[in-house]
Amino acid sequence: MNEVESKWQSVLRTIFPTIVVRQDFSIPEDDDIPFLGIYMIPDERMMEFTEKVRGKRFELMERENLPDVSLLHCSTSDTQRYYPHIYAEAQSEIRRSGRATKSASGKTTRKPSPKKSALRATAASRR
Amino acid sequence: MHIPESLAASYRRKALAAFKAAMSLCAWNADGAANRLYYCLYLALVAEFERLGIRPETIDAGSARAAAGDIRLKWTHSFVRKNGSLASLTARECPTVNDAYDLRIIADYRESDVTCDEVKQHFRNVQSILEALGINVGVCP
Repeated sequence: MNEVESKWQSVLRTIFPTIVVRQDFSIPEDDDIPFLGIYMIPDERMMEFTEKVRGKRFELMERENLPDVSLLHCSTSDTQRYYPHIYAEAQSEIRRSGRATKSASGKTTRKPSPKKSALRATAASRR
Repeated sequence: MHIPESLAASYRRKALAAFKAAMSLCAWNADGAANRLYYCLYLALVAEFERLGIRPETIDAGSARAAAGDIRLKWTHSFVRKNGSLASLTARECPTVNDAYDLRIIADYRESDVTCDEVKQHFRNVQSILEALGINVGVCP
């Protein structure tokens, strides 16, 4: 991820945790402002995106020190239909983060079991 | 004697036609409507900049670069989008120009399409901008 993508993605994920931000270099317009694809916006929250992000873009940019961009939004269903590689990437990230959460909680609750060599040494010293 | 229409007057006339086209296209061709909706703002703003005698190539590096090859290219999209305040657009009106541009980019170039509802959301704001710039739109649906 480049800096523009990661800055916008981390801010937008505070509102829409599932979104994926990728710069779109395919737009044939001569423009000095980057084009950012905003993928995986839940279908039922598209209006919310308009209100919370589009309607407040300048406030958001100023508050979070974000660079100026063109926001090219895409719902989850459109991401699946038109950008399946990004949809697949998002799905695998969700799966990974799910596993990571389980794994992290498992590590914190489970007591480490003593090594067999340590047990053998303890037993030997008791003998 | 025929007096030629000024560039600003031509652009205002085209801006109004673009807005009307956006309204009539919306129900069956939302991508087309999004394209016309942005261009009505672009043309209206360029008309106002022309009327005010603004020279973008003297205040914006991108416009200067574009104008170096051909002076007619000085009205870059980024200049127009970033400088609505020069045409007295308010802080609430300026994002509408950016939103309309983003919708137009999606409509023209992306695999996905814009929806009629997304375009309709902007009609009223665009109308008020046009009227603030002296373009009488009439009744908005």
